[in-house]
Amino acid sequence: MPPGPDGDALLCRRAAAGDRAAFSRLVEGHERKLRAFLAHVAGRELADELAQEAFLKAWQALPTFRGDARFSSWLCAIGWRCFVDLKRRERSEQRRRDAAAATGPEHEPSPPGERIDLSRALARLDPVERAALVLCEGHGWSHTEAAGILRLPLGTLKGMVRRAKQKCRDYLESDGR
Amino acid sequence: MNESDFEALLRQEIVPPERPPDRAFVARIDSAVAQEAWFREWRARILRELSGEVLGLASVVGALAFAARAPGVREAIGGAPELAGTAVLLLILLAWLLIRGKPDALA
Repeated sequence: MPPGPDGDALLCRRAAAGDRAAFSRLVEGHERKLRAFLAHVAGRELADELAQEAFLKAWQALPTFRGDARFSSWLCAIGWRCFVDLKRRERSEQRRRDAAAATGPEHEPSPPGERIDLSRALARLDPVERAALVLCEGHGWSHTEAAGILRLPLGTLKGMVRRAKQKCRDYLESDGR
Repeated sequence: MNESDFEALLRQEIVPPERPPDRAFVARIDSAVAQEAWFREWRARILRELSGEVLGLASVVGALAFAARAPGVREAIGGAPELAGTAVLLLILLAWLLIRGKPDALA
């Protein structure tokens, strides 16, 4: 059973003081959602690598974590920034090699039917739109929290979620053509 | 497709499935954290040792430089500069070894 927000606060204090066992408890409690989020945003192949990077950065930055946001949203924001930095590096490399731009994360083959269409619909979204949709509709974050994680104005975030849902719906209704 | 069907489909796709903690992943993170902590400690220790040695040597060299300005010492150095130079270098070596805490190196 993952610790609740109060449990997280205590574990954060202990981990910030160098208690690795406390940090392991935090990892246990939050790895499921972080990896699921990063899998949707970056693809399953990169999700674990990004999640590891995010946890390591969280460990290093814990002494500066003031606790004004939930640990889970702070961690998610770190994961998002790891993804953004990765895309920035990839874009630089691609420019150098004159490769085609990436169109989205690779998704593992899904069983036939509507599920595969929605997976493709999500892959066609802009990464920020996809992240906004996953955070708000999949992970239960409020618009305010999701805007904080993605560092977007609240209005922009709300518009992105609306547009992302509409795009997915349009794609499904067009039978994925 | 009506709105509620779409919402249900969307949630099925993007809500993270319930499962127990992935122990292998947690162990992987713990290992990475341990490595990072070891590296940070090692770097801090190296910097501390280096700073100590630099300060120690600077003190010895500074002290010798001041001592060389004393009238009697200056005359002695002027008379036998090679011996004075050798004595200075040996003193610096002795001081460095003492600072590093390896007196057995003198044997």
